[in-house]
Amino acid sequence: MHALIQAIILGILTGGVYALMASGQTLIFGVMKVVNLAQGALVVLGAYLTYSLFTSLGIDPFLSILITTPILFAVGVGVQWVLLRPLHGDDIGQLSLLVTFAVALGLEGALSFVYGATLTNVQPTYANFSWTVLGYQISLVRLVAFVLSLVMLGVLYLILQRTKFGRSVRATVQNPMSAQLLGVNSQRVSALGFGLGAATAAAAGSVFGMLNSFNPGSHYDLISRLLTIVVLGGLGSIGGSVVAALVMGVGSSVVSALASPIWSDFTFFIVLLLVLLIRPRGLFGAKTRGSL
Amino acid sequence: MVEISPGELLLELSGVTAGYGAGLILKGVNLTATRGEIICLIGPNGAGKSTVLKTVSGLLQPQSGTVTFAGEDISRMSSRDRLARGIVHVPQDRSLFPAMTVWENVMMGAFILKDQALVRRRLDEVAALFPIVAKRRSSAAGSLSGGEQKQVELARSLMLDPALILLDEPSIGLDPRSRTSVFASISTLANDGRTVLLVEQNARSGLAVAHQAAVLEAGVVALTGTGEALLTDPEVARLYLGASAAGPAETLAKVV
Repeated sequence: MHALIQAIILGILTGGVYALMASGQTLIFGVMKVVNLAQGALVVLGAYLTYSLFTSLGIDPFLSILITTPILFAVGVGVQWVLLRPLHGDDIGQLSLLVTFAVALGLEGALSFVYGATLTNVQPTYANFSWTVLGYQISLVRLVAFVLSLVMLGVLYLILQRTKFGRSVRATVQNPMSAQLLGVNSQRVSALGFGLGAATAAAAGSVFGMLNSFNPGSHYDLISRLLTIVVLGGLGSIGGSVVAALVMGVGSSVVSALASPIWSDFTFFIVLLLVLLIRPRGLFGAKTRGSL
Repeated sequence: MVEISPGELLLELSGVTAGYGAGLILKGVNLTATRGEIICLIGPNGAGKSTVLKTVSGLLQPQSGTVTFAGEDISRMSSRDRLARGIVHVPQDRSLFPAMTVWENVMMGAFILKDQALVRRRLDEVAALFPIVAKRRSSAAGSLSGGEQKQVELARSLMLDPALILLDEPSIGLDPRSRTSVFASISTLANDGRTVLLVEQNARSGLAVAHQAAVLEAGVVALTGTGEALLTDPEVARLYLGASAAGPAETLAKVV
């Protein structure tokens, strides 16, 4: 029982971080109908930026988010403006899949060139600090990461729900032609939406870098998890992807604790398979598709 | 917004040809509308009625000919610039954002406005004209009935206080009661000197609210006249009103 609850706590904390990564991916899918295969690579880029800021300038990994977020926002806007915007025609969906995969490979190559392929991680002095509450271990980094993810999700929510820009993003998701008729510049919304989605990878990246050993190839594992979460959450629903991330976090953590860590990654895909067999549109697909 | 005195020429299409790819849909359309009038465009499917609206709002650029609005050639102007000059296009398909609230939808009508005090004032005016906006303010637009959604679309089109409203088949797919209230609302839109260019499949009701009307056939304007004149024209009646013997009084009675 103790091990189970411990695993659930760990799963929730981890799931929160996945939720942040997945919300960015969902936003990008929602606005542009682009499955961004580079989201994992952007997280790894965020992790390496944090690593460099920490090892060469001594900037705290959590504080470095203030620097890496604008950088990744700019990268996202750049990718959309330079590589995705010129795409035209009926098969934009497939073309953009290839383009974002190319971006992922390009980032992987560039990071390998600069940092090499050796596994590394970001180790601030408090990396292994944890509290014991009622006999359960709670790691400082995981707890802060979880809270931070909630805060970032909250900021994203407020931007989408309470600002004029957010309204134009949601309008574009729900009826692009109508939004354009009302004067919304859909290319601008797409670029900023992509930037916002990529920016979530900054906070996720620094946390990822503290919790895991990573190398430039880590994005393959990340993107397969993210795609699982996004599909499970019902493509295009941010709320759905948050719940899916928590389900997956807890699921894999529990399996890891009760069976073996070897089965933990596998859990993701078994759960996905089962859910899609029973609810082909994902947990929240039918109701919220196309509305963020 | 453009200031024009009543009765003045507001919109003029002159020799407009337009289409997609190689095929021309409009083959030299000539059409005028003055300020404060409702002008109804009728004609068979595929005659190019919606295409006329698109060349006016900028969704489609004419291949030749000119579109003049308030004395200015707007033929090559972007949709957004035309919007800023007071041309609002309400398309045929459901154009609301279904998961956004009624209030948010109406606010989107003022997207290009920067002055928030002006937006709030307009919102109050629009809510006074269209009670549904206040009544269902926080409902998701997608949860409204077809007739209610059309009312919200019309309300939204007023947020820019436009000089010209382009309405594409506003009554399509509505039940008879909602249809009646849509046509009543069209008259409301034309108050305050606004011009409404209306495309209507339901020719009888369209002509009944229109001051001026034009019949579009195979990409050209085949006939123009007052709404009343076309309503009583036997040829128009035979082709577009689906009735031959109905006299004018009877025809009008059926509309309401």
